Amino acid sequence: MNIFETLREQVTIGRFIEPGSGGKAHCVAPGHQDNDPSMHAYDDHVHCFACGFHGDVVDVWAAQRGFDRPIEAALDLAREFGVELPEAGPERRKRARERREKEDLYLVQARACHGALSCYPHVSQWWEDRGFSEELRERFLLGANKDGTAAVIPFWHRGRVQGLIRRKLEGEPKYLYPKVEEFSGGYRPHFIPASVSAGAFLVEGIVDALALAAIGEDAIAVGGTGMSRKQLRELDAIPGPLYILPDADEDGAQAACEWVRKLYPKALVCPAEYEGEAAGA
Amino acid sequence: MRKDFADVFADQGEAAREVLGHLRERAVDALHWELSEAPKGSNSLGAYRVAKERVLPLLLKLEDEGERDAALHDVAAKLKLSNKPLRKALVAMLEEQRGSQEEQTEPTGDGAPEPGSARYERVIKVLGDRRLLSRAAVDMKRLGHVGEFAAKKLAFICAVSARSGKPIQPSTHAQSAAGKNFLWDTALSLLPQEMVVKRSGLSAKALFRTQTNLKGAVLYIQEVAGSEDAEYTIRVMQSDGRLEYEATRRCPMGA
Repeated sequence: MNIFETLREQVTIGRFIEPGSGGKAHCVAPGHQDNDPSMHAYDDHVHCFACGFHGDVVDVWAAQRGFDRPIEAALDLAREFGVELPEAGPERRKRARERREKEDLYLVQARACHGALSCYPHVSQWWEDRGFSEELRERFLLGANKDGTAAVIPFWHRGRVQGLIRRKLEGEPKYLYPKVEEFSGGYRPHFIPASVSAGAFLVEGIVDALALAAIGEDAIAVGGTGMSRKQLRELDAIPGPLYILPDADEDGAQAACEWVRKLYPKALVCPAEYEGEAAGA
Repeated sequence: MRKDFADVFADQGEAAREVLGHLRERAVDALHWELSEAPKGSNSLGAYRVAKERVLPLLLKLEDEGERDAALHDVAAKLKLSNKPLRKALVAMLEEQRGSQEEQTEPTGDGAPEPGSARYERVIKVLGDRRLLSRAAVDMKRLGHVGEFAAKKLAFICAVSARSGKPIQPSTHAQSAAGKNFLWDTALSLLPQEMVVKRSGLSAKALFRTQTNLKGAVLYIQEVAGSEDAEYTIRVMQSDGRLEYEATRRCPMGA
């Protein structure tokens, strides 16, 4: 775990941002005169619905205290809250900084893709049909690619963008993920659109996880049926229980069986019954 | 047709939360899942096989012994099997698991640094140093060894090769009082103390019976004279890298 991940884990944004009614606070972005609070504070990140400022605990601290370099903001934040940081030599710090810069670049790209929605109303409609209103599209920076043939989803991982996923509107394969080496951490992590805590749902699909986050549930998406060892270790570190919501097909049942065994006794598997009485309740 | 939760959300929006509540209430863990899938009725053999192959491996993951015991009772009751053979199979699995865990933890016990740690980075930096051998030789000179640099470097390479899996096994020949022992004492002083097993001599069966862990260690026999009886075992270990020795033993009753 690098310095930024450690701080995200140990310092919640709520410790220095106090949202008013409706869960919104005054935006901390430099130069944004936010008289009518428009920044929504989530567990592990903030998003301003007026100026688009998006950041984790270190970004908020940097914006509030006027730090230009995230590493300086991180060290100052750690000092302020007495967080013991992992031992890190210059090489490791350099890697953490480079990783963060890569994440910042992906955030800029995600914003651009979100902006591209205005040029492609049919992609906006596709999101609308999936239940993602304008507010949700803005919150998760859901967008369109440059020629309007695919929806674009930022690869969220605890409030940071690790890459961009393309979801083709037509044709196979539906999902195009970044290559492993393109991910800021050098491996494909879980897709985590909001914070995670005990009782989170574990799903196959990215859009399943977005849908769960949209209704206020903690969700983790594997992004398929295969789970790497690193991903498994990541789940091991999350306090249980974890509820597996399998896809209602043969592959989904097989994956759920494998996951619930690997994660025993922490994980529980829900029935894949999305039709009928329960789903229609 | 709804295939996943995204479909429910697309149809119902916020109301999908209620569906989720129903699904969560009916969630079961892997043990319940496996037991519900196990053969029912009079197929005891089938039930025992399922228990051994699918259910008992899950119980190994329970850390609390009491919890494991209670789960075993439940399994026996649900599958209508006797407790005793299941317990026996579980104990055997636990022992096997402990054995393999010990094997797996062995490499970390040798002090190998964890990738990504600052120590690991220091190690990689040292290993990437093109003048590493020269530095070791200079250190040996500082420790008082005045011989040739080539001999110092060679001794150091031989010593660290103990960790390579294919160790170099040198023997040193020179006139008496030429400094053979001092060369090795100096080279080996650069290694961690626990990595060096130093013996003045060995009896014939000493290597078979030793309790000392020789894996990845340097076995330093100072004199061949006095270890002639162990020549065979030393040669076997040099060529095979391991020793296998079967022996009879007198039991306390004298049989």
